[in-house]
Amino acid sequence: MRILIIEDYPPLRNSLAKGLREIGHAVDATGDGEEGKWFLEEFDFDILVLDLMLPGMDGLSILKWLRRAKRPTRVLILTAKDTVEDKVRGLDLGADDYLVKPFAFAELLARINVLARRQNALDEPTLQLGELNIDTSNRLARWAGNPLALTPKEYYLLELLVRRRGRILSRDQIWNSLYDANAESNSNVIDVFIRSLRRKLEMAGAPPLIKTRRGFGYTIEGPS
Amino acid sequence: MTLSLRQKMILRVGLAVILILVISGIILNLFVSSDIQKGFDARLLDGARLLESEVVVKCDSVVFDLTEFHLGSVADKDLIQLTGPGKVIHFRSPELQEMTLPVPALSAGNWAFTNVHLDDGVHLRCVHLAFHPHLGDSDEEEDDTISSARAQDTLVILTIGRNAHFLEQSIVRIRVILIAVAVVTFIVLILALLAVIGATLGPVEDLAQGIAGFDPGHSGKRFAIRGLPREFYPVVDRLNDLLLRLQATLDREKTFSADFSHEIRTPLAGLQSTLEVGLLKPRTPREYEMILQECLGISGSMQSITQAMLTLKRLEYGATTVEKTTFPVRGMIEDLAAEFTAPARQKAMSIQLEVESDMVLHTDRKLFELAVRNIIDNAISHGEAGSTVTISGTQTATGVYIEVANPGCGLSRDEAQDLRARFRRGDKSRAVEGGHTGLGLALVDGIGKVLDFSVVIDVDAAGYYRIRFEFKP
Repeated sequence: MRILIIEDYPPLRNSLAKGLREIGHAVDATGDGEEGKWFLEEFDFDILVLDLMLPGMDGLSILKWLRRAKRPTRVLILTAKDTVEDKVRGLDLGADDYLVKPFAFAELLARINVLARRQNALDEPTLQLGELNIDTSNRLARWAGNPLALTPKEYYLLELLVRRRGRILSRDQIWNSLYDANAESNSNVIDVFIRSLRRKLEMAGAPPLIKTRRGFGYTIEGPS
Repeated sequence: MTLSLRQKMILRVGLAVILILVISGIILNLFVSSDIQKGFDARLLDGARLLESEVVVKCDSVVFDLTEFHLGSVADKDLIQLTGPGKVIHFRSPELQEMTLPVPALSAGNWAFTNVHLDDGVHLRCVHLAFHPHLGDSDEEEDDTISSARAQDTLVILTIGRNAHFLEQSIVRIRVILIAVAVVTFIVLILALLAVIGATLGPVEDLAQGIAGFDPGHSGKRFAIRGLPREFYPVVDRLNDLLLRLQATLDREKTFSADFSHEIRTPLAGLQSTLEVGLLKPRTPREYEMILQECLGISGSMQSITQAMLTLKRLEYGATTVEKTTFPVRGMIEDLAAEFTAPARQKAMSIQLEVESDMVLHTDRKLFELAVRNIIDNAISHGEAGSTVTISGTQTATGVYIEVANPGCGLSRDEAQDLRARFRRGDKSRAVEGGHTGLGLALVDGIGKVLDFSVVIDVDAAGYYRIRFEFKP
């Protein structure tokens, strides 16, 4: 999942970005409101973790702009303001969730997962494709009940393909979902991940689910 | 037992009324009783004087003949006794039978009143009139001169005794009337008193209830003066003034707590997430060391906020000890400038000193240093990279002025004034590194109040942000 963090306190911004990257998300982070808006204009993000008091452009203005621009990015407001009025104001302006500092990193992850499910119009935290089951809460994929030993990037690639089953995803689209803006683009990496995923699924006894559409990209097919 | 003001007033005024009524009743009773008594006695004496003419000396004997006497002032039930020399009874009313009324010793022309209780319980009021009877007409020829001399030698005492029952009844009736009037007066006065005290004390009681029921959480309440006695005006004025101050203090505390809570939450969140992310997976010792360094930095910024807040609180509550000394200003500024040489160099900034060499200040050096250090720190942290921070100092007849100026703060004059508020930052965020708490100028203002200097903030047309400390005699 591609996540943007706009938080002006460097230690918090850095630790959140680090933690989210370590579990496989593609994370961009900035401490400046104007720069955050630039990120949102230039890239598509699944989730925006947004502080309210920011230099350059404040969080609520970014939120207003985002909603006016009809971007589908889910917004989680992360702020020290804990009054009901503050929460109502943020949610009224189009935020999807509100987390008051300080918070547990696990809670932030849980809320990001909920927003991700909402982003993909899913009620359940699990995805099913035939005998393939993906538990998005625990970031665990199983074939016929047996866990698949996937790296974080492999897991998110599989989850991305299953979420958009039947649709062809280009290498660039996959890249943008798995890597942040600072990563050096290398489409061969995507091919390596696809090969690795196919191998692990095959070892688990699955039929060849991931298809290659030459010149277009990859897709996954199978019964729901 | 603790009595209310209303009860005390009723009790005290009630007692005063009872006392006044009793004293006035006794005095009135004495006057009226005495008057009735005097009237009674006067009528008795008048009767005795009328009867006096009926007593004559005739043929060496005293004759008292009432056959032709028309009772006027003398009631027919009055008892009459005529006592001659040697206590010889010349006349006695038949009702007295053999009883003799006691007679006091009197000289001629005098009278006296006595009370006599008869055996049958009747109380008599008696008048005794002593006189020499006049000479009556004699059947026998006698020397008038001799008879006249005898009459002059004969002293008789005429006693009239009258039943005093009606007198006593009258006096008792008067007393009953007086007591009845006193009771009615007392009741009416108490009722009037209750109404008057109620009307007078009503607003005072409302005020007392208002104060007793005052909720410190609603310090916006004010007490009305209307209807209160004038004596309470200064009390209510002072109370409202105190409430105003309380409200201001509570509002300040509330804002401060909210701001502090808000400010401390972010580094706390940073600390928590740094630790949690650090524990997400096993790491190398070097990685753990970096995480701990990061946490140390965060705790340092939290300590800065807490320390600044505590210093500010001590300043506000007058708990800061001020030790004034006289010291050269230039030396102090040079020392402070030296502290900031390294951070200034990192931003390619320079510090220029324009402080008169002979300037001296008489103030608390440590506190003043803290104020100036904050301002230089802000100037370096928020100043334009490559710019020069100028610290100047002049001493004139009007006072001592020390100014820190730097360009490129990007604030308007109004925005600059706003920086005095606590937790207010020029860039509205914590983006500037270096543990800035947003309390710096509030702290400087607080020190200014304690050390008696004013802090002037200005942004000039060239965009220079200037903070001036003004010590005026």
